[in-house]
Amino acid sequence: MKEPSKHTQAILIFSVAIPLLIAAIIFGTAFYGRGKLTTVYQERQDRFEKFQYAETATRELEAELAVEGRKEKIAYWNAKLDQDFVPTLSDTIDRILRKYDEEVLRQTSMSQLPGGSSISKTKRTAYNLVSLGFEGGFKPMQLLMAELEEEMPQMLLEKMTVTPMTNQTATEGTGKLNFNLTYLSWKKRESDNPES
Amino acid sequence: MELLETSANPLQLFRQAKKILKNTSRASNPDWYRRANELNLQWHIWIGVERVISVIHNKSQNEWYEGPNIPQLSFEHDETGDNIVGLDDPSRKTLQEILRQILKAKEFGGKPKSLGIVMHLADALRVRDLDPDFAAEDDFENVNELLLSAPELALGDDSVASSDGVWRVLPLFGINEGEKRSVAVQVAGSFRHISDVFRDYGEIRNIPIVSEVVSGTLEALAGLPELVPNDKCLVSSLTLLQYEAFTLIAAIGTRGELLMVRPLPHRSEPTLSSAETNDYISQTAALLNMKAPKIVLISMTGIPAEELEKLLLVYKELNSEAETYTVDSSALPFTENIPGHQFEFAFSTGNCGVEVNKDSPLFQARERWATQDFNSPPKAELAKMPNRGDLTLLKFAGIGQKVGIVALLGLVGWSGTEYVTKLNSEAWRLEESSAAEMQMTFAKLQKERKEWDYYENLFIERSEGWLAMETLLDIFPEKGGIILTSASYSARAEDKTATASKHGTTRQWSVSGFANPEVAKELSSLGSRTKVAEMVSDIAEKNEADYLSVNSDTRELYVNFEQKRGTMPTSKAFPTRVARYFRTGFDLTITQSFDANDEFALNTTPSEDK
Repeated sequence: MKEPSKHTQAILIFSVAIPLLIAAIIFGTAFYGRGKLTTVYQERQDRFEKFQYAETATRELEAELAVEGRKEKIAYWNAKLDQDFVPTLSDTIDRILRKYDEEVLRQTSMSQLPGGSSISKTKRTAYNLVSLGFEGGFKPMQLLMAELEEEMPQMLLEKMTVTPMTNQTATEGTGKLNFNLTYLSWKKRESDNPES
Repeated sequence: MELLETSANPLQLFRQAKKILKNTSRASNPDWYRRANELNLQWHIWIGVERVISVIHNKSQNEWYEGPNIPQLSFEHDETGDNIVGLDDPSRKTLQEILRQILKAKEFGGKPKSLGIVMHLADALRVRDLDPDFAAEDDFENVNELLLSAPELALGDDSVASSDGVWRVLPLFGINEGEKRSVAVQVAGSFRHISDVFRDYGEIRNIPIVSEVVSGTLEALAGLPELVPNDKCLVSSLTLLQYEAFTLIAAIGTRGELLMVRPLPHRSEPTLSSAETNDYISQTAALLNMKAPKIVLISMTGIPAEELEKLLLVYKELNSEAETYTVDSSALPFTENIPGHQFEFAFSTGNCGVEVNKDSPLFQARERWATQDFNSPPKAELAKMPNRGDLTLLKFAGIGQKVGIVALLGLVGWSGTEYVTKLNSEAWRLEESSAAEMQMTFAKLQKERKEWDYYENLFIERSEGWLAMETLLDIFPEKGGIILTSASYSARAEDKTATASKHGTTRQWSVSGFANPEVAKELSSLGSRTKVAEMVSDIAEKNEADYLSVNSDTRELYVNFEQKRGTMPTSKAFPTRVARYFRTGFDLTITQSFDANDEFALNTTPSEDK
């Protein structure tokens, strides 16, 4: 094959090869840069879309949680559940009973019960069962329960028996009663923790 | 135009090519690279010692015109006064003016885009044998190059000076072997300077002016098949081409091969005498050992055939059997319409219109050697100028580069716009920390939401002790007439409609006691479910305890009431005087429930995301 002339070689080098090389470098760099930009932009776009979704959802959630002071209630309930149940219960009952003379109402027993709850059939929801015994008047007892349940909203009454006192020397019309109560009190359990 | 050596560095060659492309029409006008007789407008100049004939030819229209007169020209010499260095200024300007007139004239078939100039030299032709080292060479191109660059070497004669004239090779056409394959021919060198003036003018005006100096004698030699009536006349012949100052004798062999050429100068007459003619023919025939060759005498200067016959009289007298032919080239039919009637013009422009044997060696001669340009530079000089292909490549590469630049600018613009657009987009400006913060806030609220769903369901009132007692008080108001001996309350899961995720709650009050006769009558109404449901719903409404009401399909209430006769047993609390009034015993059981579809149902899958 005939070798190209010196002019042809020079033209091929400077007019074809080098411009093509430069163009290839520039185009390659441009496309690489654009590809990189597109990748970064896509990441940011994805992040932005997530942000927008989160922002919208956050607004909705904030509005939802602002209704009826739900956030405060959650905090309140959390605070209640974070307390040690038995000491708190004892302290609360003691504090309420201080308002009454022992002749009017007094606590006769308190114990934690093993076994299952009759209200909560699920094993996934944690609770304590506690048995309380009181003797005294109907109304003081009712007030105590009202106050106790107000103070400790995690408590549900499972069982209550009310019987007249039989082992005392009661006079006619005193109307003292025995109260045997079984309370369920919700507690936090890992598997039920909303964070899990 | 001063051109760089091809050994210059590629960048310089490239810049030179760009300059040529920019400043000349070489890339766009192919005439720059054509032979003069291929261009549309041609100026043919026949130059003899007595006459100069000038004609213009329009190739496409096949028209001939009288050409401009060539004035007397004078040359400049070097310091020694022996060597011509070029035309003097007035002569150059005169020639340039003639060219200007031709190029601006429209009477030659329109304004020309190029001009081919062919100087047919018929004033003289010198023939010499080559040095024996080169005479047998069959690479005629190489021998020609050597004659161009170093004629003294090719001729083996150191006394030969380049100023003597221009040498070229003339192959002996049809001789394929032997010690002598070619000879050297020379024309006057002064015409190169005229040709150079023409070319330079074309360069200056950027119009292709292709100027060539050819030997009219060699053209006539190659055109013998057209000149003689029958090419058989040429076989084993001695052909004499008669010019103003010399006659060329050419010996042609049995195969039509060219055996020998030799110019015979005219001594005093415009032709050889009849005796001289006879002598030269006889000597040549004897030299070449040709017995009874045909004799062809052709006048290239317009001498009629009858006059030519006279020049052969002596030879014919001595060789009565000799076969002789005489031709007046100016009387040939195809030269009739050509001003001056010169055969060389018709031959050069391909206007002979005669069918000839294309296999004859003389016919093949016209392709290259018989029509060669005596002013053509050596190949090394020619190589300095980029050819048309190079310039076309450069031109299209330039277009390609411009397209590339536009595409590049487009790409840059497009990418830039895209870059700016993206950079200004909200997505781009969003800080990663802000996005993370929002995600954290969202996650926190989601957690709170889950907590709300969980706790709200968990902490909802379903069974309150104080209300259980309040219910008893409302059912059995303290207006007397009833003594309760026992009361119990229990709450448990409602199983009937329980699902995997929810279950309802059932509450039950069990009360036993005694009533006096007046109250006992009213007490029986407690056996009515409707009555008790109404009572319970009232209690629920009064105490804002929706879970207790019985007002929807998800709620149920059952009542069991029994009365029996029998006096209440006495005790310290209720002595006989009191107990005897309570003679009706009763047992009441109220069961109230809501099922798994109720809004108060206990969610047993609190950790599930709702």
